[in-house]
Amino acid sequence: MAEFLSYGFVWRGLVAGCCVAVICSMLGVVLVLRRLSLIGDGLAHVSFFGVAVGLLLRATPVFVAIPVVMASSLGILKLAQRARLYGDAAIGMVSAAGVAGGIILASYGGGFNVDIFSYLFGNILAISAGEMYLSAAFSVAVAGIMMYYHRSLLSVSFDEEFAAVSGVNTGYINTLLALLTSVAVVLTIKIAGMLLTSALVIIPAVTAIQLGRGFRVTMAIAALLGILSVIAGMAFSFYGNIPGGAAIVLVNIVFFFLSFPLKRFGAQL
Amino acid sequence: MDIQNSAIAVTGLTVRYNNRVALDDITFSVAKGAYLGLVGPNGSGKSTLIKAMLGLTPSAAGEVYFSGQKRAGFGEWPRIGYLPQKISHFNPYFPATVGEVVALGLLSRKMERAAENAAVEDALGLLDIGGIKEKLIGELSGGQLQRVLLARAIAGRPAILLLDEPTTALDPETRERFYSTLESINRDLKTTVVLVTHDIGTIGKYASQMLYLDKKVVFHGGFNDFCGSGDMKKYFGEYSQHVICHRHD
Repeated sequence: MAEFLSYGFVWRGLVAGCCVAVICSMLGVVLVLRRLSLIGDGLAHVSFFGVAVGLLLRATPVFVAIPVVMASSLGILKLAQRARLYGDAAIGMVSAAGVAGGIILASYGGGFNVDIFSYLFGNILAISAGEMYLSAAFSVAVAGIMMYYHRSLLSVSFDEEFAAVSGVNTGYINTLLALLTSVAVVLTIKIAGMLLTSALVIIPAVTAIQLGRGFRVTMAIAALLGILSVIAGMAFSFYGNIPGGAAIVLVNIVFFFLSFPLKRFGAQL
Repeated sequence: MDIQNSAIAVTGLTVRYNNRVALDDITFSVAKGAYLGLVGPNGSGKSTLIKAMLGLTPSAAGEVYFSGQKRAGFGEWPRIGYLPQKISHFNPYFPATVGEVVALGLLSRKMERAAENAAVEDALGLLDIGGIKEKLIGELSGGQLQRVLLARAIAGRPAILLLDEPTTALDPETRERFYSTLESINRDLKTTVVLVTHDIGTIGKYASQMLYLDKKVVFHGGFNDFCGSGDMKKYFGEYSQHVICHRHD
């Protein structure tokens, strides 16, 4: 273990991974309870387009992808409201448009194909110091906002009509949730890759929902599971020479299946 | 109509869905502390009326006043409690405790933690479910869940309580207990109650006023007047006229 922690790239991956795992897991609890789990998957696909635009403009991909994905998340909300689509259909449409746009840009870009495809699978062991600081700063901001609004998020998630009647600005909370999810998804694609980002949003959340007694406790369990999965996944990745993102996701799957016997033996927290 | 001194006043409220009229020029008022039973056939617009009053459904015309103030400018939402027919997309595995759910009724009050806990305990105690505060929502029976949702609605001690068919899924004994509690809230806390129901017997037993709706107001007045007008026989049949109106006498 000492050898594992003696490398700078491992520490950078751990810090960035744990930070984004915390916000993905916390957001995941809200998204899963609101039956919006797949918004993480859809926005990850859109981030492919955002990264392609960034690479084409020779800008830092994350800085371009965040506004692109934020705009798309708002587009999903508007489509669901105005075009009278169910949320999953709106997510499917925007997600497909994002991937199609990314593929077209990649085919024109030529030179950056290798870079863009690294975002498909991610590489937590290749996180730079700048990316680590960026992830940490954004994660602290997202987690802080979520903690500030956690009761409004609970109210809207449990019963949106009652929330509106009791004075919660449900439109504002829904928009905020979409924007925070956009930031979390973009930060996660460098770590887990576009294809596995949604797993970090969904799996710790569903595991925590099995074990948690209370909304706040469930969010805390989800965040803890996210951190543990990153540490264990990186260790497996380092010693087993396997991709980090995939290892983290598989650790999360193991946690999920372990939650059933834990729950059966009364280990709800 | 005395808008200023009414708990609720509705004037000319019209709701349309795709050019189909769901509510047509609805005008009525509810006195402070009254218990209004809102009845009508399926599709008559009862739930639509409640939602339009609360601004959850857009209205094409008309105004709604709570305690003399227009709904659009009404700044005291905690003074209104709402219990929907059912929670849309209710998730029985939602990991919230009863205490957390009831506290949602106090969200806009911005209370200190201790005062909030006391208000939650009070609401649960009033409904005789004080022992289930730490239970998860998914661990409750149908009757307990409805009482918890009523506790959420009354936790902020609202001046006005709107309930939309709150006992549809309950057995007769639990339903009776629910309505008895509701009556004591109306009587002891002076809370104005508007209850949507199909159960004319419940209206006869508890309500001081009733409103019969069929996309427009068919009858609005006291229960005895409804019985006396012959509308009871017309809309609910001879059996109801005999049994419920006579019992009410």
